[in-house]
Amino acid sequence: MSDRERILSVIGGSTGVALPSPWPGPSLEGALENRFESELKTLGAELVTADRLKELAGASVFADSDVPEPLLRGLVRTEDVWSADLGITLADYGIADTGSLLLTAGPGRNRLASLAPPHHIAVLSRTRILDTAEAAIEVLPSRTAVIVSGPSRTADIEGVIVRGIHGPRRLWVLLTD
Amino acid sequence: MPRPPVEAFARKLAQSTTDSVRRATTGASNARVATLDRTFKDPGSARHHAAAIKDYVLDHLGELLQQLEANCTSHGIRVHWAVDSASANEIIVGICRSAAPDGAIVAKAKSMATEEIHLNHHLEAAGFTPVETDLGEFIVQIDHDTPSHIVAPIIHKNRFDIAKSFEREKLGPYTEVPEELAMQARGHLRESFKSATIGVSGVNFAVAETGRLVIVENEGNNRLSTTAPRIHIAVMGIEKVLPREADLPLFLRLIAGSATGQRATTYMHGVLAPRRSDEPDGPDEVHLVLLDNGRSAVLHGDYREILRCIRCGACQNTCPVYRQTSGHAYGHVYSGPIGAVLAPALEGITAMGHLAKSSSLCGACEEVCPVQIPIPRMLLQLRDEAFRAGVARDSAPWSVYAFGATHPSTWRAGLKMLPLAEATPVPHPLKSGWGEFRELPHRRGRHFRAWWADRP
Repeated sequence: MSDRERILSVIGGSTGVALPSPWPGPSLEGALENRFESELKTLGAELVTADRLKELAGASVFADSDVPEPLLRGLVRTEDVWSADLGITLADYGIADTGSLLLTAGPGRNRLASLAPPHHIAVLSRTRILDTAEAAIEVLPSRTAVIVSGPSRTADIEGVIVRGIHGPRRLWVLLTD
Repeated sequence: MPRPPVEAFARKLAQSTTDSVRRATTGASNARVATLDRTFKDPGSARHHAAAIKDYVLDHLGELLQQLEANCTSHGIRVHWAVDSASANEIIVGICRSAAPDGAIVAKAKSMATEEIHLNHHLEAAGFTPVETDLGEFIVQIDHDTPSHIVAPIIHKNRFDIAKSFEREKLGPYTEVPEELAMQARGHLRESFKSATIGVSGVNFAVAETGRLVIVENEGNNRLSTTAPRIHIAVMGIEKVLPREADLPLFLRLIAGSATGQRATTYMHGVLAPRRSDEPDGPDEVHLVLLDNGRSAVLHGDYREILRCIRCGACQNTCPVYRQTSGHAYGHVYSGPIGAVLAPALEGITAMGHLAKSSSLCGACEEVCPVQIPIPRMLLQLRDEAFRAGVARDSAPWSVYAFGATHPSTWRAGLKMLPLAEATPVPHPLKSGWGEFRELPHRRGRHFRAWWADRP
């Protein structure tokens, strides 16, 4: 008997326990954009305008191919994601409740762009801020995806929070209309 | 009377270890309460809902696993079934051999399932080089130690211990600053991510309806381990399946809040498939190893609900015994209240039954459990089983008490002798061990039996 057959035969059939409907999730009050911004700050990330990109003049950037060209002016492009100072990607959606971003793999979209460089900028359309994770899961595409909530962190050493342990130390979100 | 193993271990702990464990567990417990109260209007009903979904999963486990298998396969994820740890290790080593040369680096993300099967040992024996990439697990590995907590593997170490280890491993100039230590580890582990052919991870939730493997983490090492290497192997206990994607938000909130007091973990990686032809990066192969290792048998016994566990570690953080003894005292990869049930359930009462006594039965573990596992009830039952199997013994005074309390004539004789015993100036037998830090009650008035016989 294969392992599969052995495991399934020990497990056996069901007795008809019913599946509860999914948990409804919270309902949010107030403007989504304000909530998104304040949660983002709590996580140690920041909402920025295009002007802030000027601070990064000269930085080497690894950008996904669907990032609008005008945003990349003044930056030095690199094709090596591991050596880049900065990764720029689009975000599919924002989640106001937790200040999170939904990023999906796809054509021109590198999974490592939001992960390997020490600084990540996510470009998000204002119209794509959802209220909760429940809403985000509903629109989750049939691709590998990641929900990012703030910069990379660890609390392994005495509970002290250190940012940027393996992923980006700084996370900026640039809202577009 | 020899002390039970957990207590004997705890007595030898350095004060600094006890301090580290107590500080971290207390902090995590407080953060948990604050976050769950903010996340849910009624945390109790959310936990109840999650428990009901898990009970559905356990009842329909066979169907859900087959549905998961079919959906994973349809996206190109290769599914393997492992009846025990030997089988799981053989499968994983086999995948490594087919894809990587001898000595190749295997980037490992934190995973209790791989700890359970002692995967690193098997990879090393087969000539591979596993590198733990989670900061805590990395420190465990360079110190040849074992993790002492499900979520915080080095909860028993402080910054000075870590500073010495990093100096010994020549990771950089000596420092005791957590930020600097972390950055030294980052620099060192970068090379492993870049050169690894294979990445191994666990799975927190696998969605049957779509075949999506969900992994939560804060550091990013898990995403790196499952993205950069050419092959990703995910190892998952069979009970980790969830029916629908719509069930994810509740469980994501519960695991983040219960484990670390976060409203959301930094990353929720939802792996649906290997790299598709139109995607620029990601692994070419994704393998899912479904690990039974005793779980299917637990399903049909009295400890079934322990399979609801989502490995958040909240019961460890709240447990007064864990806080005093640390995880290593339990002598198993799963420690604390969850370990005291899971270890004997998976490995048998003879090997691990003594753990049932490492509890005060205060009930805090059940109170904090995000899926409402009745751990105290299970611990009581395990005590009974362990006692009957002869692996847990009562100390001599308690054995005398138990005999008397279950034999009415002996009890009556004992009561008559009680005034005599109290008048004797020898040390009371209960004044060592159990009674060492307890005040015994003073007898007042008449015996209950006498009162009962004379009542009007």
